Amino acid sequence: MHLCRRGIIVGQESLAWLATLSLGIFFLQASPVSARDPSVADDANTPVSLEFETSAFDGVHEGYVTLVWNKSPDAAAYRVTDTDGDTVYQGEFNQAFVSGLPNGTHKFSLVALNDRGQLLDIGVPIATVNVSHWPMWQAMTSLGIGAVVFVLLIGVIVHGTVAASKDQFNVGNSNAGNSNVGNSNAEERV
Amino acid sequence: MLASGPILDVTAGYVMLAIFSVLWIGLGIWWGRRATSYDGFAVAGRNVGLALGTATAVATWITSNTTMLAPLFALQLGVWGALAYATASFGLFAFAPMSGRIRTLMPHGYTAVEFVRRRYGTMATVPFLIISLFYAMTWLISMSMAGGKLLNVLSGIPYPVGMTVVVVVCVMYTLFGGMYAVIGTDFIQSLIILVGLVIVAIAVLFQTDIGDVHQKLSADRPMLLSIAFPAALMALFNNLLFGFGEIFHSNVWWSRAFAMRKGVGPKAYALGGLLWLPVPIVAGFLGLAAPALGIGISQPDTVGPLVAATLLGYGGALLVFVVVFCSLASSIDSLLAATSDLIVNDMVEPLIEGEVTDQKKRRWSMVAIVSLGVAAWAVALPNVGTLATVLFFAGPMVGSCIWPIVGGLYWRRASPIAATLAMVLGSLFGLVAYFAIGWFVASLVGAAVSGIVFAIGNLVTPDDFDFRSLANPPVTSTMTKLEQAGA
Repeated sequence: MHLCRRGIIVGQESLAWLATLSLGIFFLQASPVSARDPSVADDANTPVSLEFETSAFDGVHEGYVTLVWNKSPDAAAYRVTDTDGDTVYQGEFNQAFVSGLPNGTHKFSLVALNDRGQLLDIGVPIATVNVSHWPMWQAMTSLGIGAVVFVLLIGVIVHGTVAASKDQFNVGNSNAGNSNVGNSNAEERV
Repeated sequence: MLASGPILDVTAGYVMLAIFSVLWIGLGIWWGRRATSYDGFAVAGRNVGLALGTATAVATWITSNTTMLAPLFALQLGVWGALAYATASFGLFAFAPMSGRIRTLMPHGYTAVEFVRRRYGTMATVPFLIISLFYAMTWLISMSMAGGKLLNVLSGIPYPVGMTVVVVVCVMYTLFGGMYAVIGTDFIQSLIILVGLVIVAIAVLFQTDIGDVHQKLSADRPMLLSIAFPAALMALFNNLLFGFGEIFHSNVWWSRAFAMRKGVGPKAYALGGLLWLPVPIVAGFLGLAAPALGIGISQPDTVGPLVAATLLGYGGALLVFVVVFCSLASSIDSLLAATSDLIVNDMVEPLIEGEVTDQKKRRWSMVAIVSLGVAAWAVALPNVGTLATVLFFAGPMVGSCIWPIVGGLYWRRASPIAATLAMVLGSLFGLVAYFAIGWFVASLVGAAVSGIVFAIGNLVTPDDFDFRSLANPPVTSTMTKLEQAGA
């Protein structure tokens, strides 16, 4: 039997093997494991190898955290969601930055998706972030100290500039002529 | 939620990189023809006018940190974060009158370290030199990292490749052209950056509904809009003082003060500060827009370019690529040039016996530029930490230099012991605060402790310095020999 114009001849034995192979594939497809809605992979048989490098964050004082996880071999993207089901990150990198969190405990779940958006892996355990912002008295103290240092500095610069402008001894003039002299002196030094 | 991934394809990224590499190196060679002497190479002949002076101030201060850290600040610390970053413009305003004072006091000067050495002596020079070099390296490393991260996020070019190309290009055109090339390319880069940012800002405003952004942030990330965000309040003056410390101590700014024509410095720095001020606010908005627009962020220091590129599509990604490349190059070249000046004038030359020719100094400058580039590349290669953690580690040290510099310029009683102790103790306490509390208070603590120590030190051991001595040309080995020979 010619299978194509180039004259490949298939004998009866080969046909038998081909038929056997086809039947095998057919039965595999027909098995209960494979007979599912093609848009959803099998959760029960999905290998759970995905996990956060650190899943517990305590004493987060600034309300932001970076979640990092191991890469999944066939993953095209990862999705991180909070307890409300809102997606805080979706993308191909294995890292998510979450910020603006108020005081309290925040939990995040991780899944890996294939290139068709189907679930590949589920991250276990979920990440728990305990946020406790710096006390306000500390913030106001920093603000106060900063304001004092700033005002003092500006005061010194302004006072120094005004005083220097009134100085009878003008250092620039004592070099007989401003930047041109500066230039020629610099050249002469060379 | 918009999926987070490269916007440009790798080929486009490599093509853009190649075009800019060739252009910038070509410009460096072309401008380098004017650098016929060491003064030409180091301080562009001390004759830079207002337009170029303003452009170089703006371009140098709009670093990759501005386009990438300002959005990071906003993403981490909210509205206060963006405002905190904008306070770095105050450093330019404050340095404006100081640049005039510097130019007047030291018409033959080259570096900030030279000022400290002649004002306070060797004792204070040692910590100041260490701080200057450390800061220069951390800035250089942070920008090298920024180059690699940006190219990776925008186009998928592997981080090591992008970072290496950026560093090599900047080293090469600085090598060929010195300060002429640095300032000349700064002018072009500042125009590109400002035009590009205006386009990005207008386009983003058209694409986003501020009310919508506000609503989503209020619901999902409430602290980003909160006035009572403790860490953000702590960062406000910390960032302002970090900016003061960066500018007041760094030879990047002193070398420009020396390069500008007399009388130009104050106007150039003031204008530069005004032009720079809105940039981090615009960039910061991009950081706030990310969570509201559902753009997933993995590396927070890439949020600005990523948001702009995601919203504006392919064209926007190209524009962002160009703007950030220009901001990177304009700062890396300044650092390389200024730090090589520092190494040649303040470390190598004082150690050499005998005549130091112009040719020798220029050769040393080139060796220094290449060495700095290699060192920055080596440390940036592992890509450890965010840009903020790398850069702000130097915060307490530069913060501790503020009072010795300001006091040294204006107050004859400022003494070497007070200046030395202020820098050392300010740095130590600031570093303790960095590790014990966080980066967002380290500069504040460094500056505050330094100020207290400086004030007490000058009360206990006051000096009586003659500012006129700074106007004399620095004593060189050649001059000493001539004087000895009775010339």
